Amino acid sequence: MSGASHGDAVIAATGLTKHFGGVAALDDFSITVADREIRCIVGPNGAGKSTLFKVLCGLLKADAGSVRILGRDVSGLNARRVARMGVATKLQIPRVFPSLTVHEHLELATRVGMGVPQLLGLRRRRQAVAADAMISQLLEDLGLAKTRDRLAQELSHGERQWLEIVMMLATGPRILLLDEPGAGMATEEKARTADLLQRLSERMAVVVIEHDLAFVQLIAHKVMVMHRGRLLTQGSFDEISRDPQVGLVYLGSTST
Amino acid sequence: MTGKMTPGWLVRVRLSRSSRLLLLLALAACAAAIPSVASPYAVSLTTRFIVFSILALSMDLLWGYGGVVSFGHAMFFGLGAYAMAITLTHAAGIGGTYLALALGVGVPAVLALALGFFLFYSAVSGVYFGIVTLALAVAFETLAVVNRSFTGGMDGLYGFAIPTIGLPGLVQVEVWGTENPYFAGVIGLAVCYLLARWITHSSFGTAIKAIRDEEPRLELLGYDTALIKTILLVITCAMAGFAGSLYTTVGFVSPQLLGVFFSTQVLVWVGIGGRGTLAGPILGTILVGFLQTILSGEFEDIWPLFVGMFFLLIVLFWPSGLYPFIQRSLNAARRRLGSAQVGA
Repeated sequence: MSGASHGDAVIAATGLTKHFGGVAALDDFSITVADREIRCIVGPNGAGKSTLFKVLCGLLKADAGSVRILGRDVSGLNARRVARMGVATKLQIPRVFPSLTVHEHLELATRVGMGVPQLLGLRRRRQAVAADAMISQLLEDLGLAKTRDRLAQELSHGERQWLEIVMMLATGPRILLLDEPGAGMATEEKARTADLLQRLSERMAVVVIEHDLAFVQLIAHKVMVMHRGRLLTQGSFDEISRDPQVGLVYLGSTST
Repeated sequence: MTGKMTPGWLVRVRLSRSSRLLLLLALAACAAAIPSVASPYAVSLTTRFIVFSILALSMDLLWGYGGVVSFGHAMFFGLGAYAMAITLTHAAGIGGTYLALALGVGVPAVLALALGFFLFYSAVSGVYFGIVTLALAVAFETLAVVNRSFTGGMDGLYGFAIPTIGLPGLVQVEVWGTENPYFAGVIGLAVCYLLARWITHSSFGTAIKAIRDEEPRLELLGYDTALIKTILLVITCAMAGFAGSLYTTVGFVSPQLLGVFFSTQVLVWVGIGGRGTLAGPILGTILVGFLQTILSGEFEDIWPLFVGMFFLLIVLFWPSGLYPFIQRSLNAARRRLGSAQVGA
């Protein structure tokens, strides 16, 4: 019914509600994201941004509301199933595998969905050969080629964030959910990340949670402002930064 | 590279292909020569430690690589040994031996499959998995003790048929006495080591290391981590069962083989040798085995105390184990040699 009206919506979530104890982390929140769109979600701490992501990617079950991804109802699916549909998620805390090399991260990412016999190399798929070529290309493109054989724990914080994003890209996703991709990065690294996200949005839907409004401005597409689990307002970066309501809930220090 | 202490699994071997081949050949030559130079008693002891090192190797795959801590891993070894011994009690000859071997590997594997299915798929992991395996080990040991008619109770089983391998009517080798069990153990260890190496070098091996590091991240990437852990458990428990089957060439099996004390010993061997290194646990088992034999001869009652102290010392000074320490020292020596040559 509503699926028909959002013909090219890759994410269509309506009426999401999630309570933790007495606190409503999500309160009748709805979001629709089109393909090849880049969307930012901002809001003060505790606004419900991270909870929203966890509901979208299948880590949390909403108390009420529905989530459709790529036209399919995913409310009953776990995180693994949602991931295999083409949703790559980066949670707030960057997570890589410390004792694996950069290449091994991508090796795993390109083998998502393969059976154990394929993982063991008992049956070599053509897919695996193609995957190896893709890994080299990705590393080259993202400037990680020289770190190929280094362990993730030897990388800098910024490099680790990049590694996680590259790993997600290697799964060939259609939707990227990124919770604070610029956290802990230097200004110059943030600019590079923003540039990367812009380029990625030409191929897939990108949803970004960000705390730092300066970083949001670099991406400067549709911005949603969340407050206490609800949508406060939405619009372009300029529109929301002029909105007096936003200034009130959001530290009072938006950029001009 | 870094001066910091790195866990054993982070140290990568930097041996050239040819020097590794030479080392392997030397090792094989040593293994072949032992029965002709050592006393029968020493050979029998070595056989036992080699069989135990297969058990340690399987524990290393499970714990060192997969990060799954089991306090009852020896239970699968004991089950394999009992399955083999009970079958040989009722069926002799080559056919009986093959059936016994199949059950010695299969029974532990089936139990592991059930455990993995019920525990990993209900998200029981970490220390809780350890506790369940501990309880099961106690239960199986008790079962073996109270069930006199089937498992021989406290005395265990002995006097079962001699394991015989070969082709019916053509070749027939009795795996009995001193030398044959020894060679069976060496071949068994070599096969298991190659299998373990193949697993750890595959993408499956990368996935189990990722589970050890950050299981939720791998799940979020789209992997069925419960399935991977279950398969890992089945493989390692089958390997432990195979080691147990080989153990029956000693001539008897007893309830202690299933127990918690034996399981903790396996953890000590792996910890001393260096977890996540494959070769380390083999080294650790044989080293601790001989140390234990010497100590228990000198100090009848308090030898476990010394082994415990040895373990604590290793944990304090070389927390990643002996094997990574040896590797690091060799690498450092080579670097020093290299820089000396450059300087000259």
